Amino acid sequence: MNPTRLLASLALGAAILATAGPVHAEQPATDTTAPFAVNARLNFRLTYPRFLRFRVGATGATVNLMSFTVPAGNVGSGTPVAPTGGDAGGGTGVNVLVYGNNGQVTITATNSSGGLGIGTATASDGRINYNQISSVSSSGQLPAPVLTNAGGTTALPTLNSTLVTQRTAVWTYSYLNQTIPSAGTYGGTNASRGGRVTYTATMP
Amino acid sequence: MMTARAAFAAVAFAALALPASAITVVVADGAPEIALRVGATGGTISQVSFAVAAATAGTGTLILGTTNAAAGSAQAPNFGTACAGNNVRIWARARSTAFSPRTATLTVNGSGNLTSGANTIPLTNFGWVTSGGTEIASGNFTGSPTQALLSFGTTREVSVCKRFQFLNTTIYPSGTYTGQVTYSLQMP
Repeated sequence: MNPTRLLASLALGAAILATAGPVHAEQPATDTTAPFAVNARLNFRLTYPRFLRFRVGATGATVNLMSFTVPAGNVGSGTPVAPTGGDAGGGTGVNVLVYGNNGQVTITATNSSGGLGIGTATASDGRINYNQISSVSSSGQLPAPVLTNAGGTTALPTLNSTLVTQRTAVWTYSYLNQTIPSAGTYGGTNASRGGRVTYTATMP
Repeated sequence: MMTARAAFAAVAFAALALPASAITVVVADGAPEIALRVGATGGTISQVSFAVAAATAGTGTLILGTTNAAAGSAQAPNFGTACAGNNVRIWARARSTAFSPRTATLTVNGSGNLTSGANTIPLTNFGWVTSGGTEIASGNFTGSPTQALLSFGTTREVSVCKRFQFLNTTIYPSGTYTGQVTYSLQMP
């Protein structure tokens, strides 16, 4: 036999022997020759969905109200004022979660002020610009959008792998207190006053 | 009279040893042999399916596997009752001649992955709950190619019913993932 063909035949035979092993097509598989060895296989099949999950603040239907109270002695001083009403950081922040599995998640912010800032419902009171509301994330991998009257910057959570994002953080808010607005209650649960921020996460 | 009482006791024990789903049964000695069944009898490799819901993906909510009735069917004559629904029967027998005991060892290779294209889910994300017996304890795949499950002496049959589960603690890309585990029974 041609030596090359012989080698090829031997290699093929060895490959068949190596893959044959003790696996038996019929079950129960049996072996009556020492050393005894039988294999049996089991197939797994898992269907995994495409999804995007996003949470800012309390779970459920609650919309957190971040409430800032500025002491008269500090108005316009530039001393930041921490809020209450969050579900993290002793009320100064909110828990944020973003889970997704189909590529880069993008988080954007819009608000209900129509680009004007937060008001009291009385036009003559003026507005508080959203640039006075600071939001800082506890994680650089899940940054918070910088709020503006127009909405805010875009935030890009860091992907865990090519397609998967699995990030959590606490976003902490403060009122920067760098201006002197009219006295009054700005924003609140009445979205028409401009105080409602909506964060939106999108994924390809 | 003593002999008669002893015989009656032996019969009663044998009757109790006929299990519904899992236990070790002493069987007759004979020419050395081992036998193994995982899932359905015959030439079919049983499949366990998992479907993860978007609402619970990655939350740690256990996703129970499903399979057909054949995967948990009875194993006559000593295991005459089928496993509960969606359970997989694992049955093993090790036989040897009288006065020549041997020990059989059952292992599983859980070192691989389920794959969907280039994406993978390690088998270590899967486990099982054993029902009807303790011969193979409930647990998870460790990633070892020779994860020890059970050792037992001749001449015996052992059978358990397993409900497999996906641990669901990590997020994966969407897709349909497939993979295979191999159980091995060996005896010197």
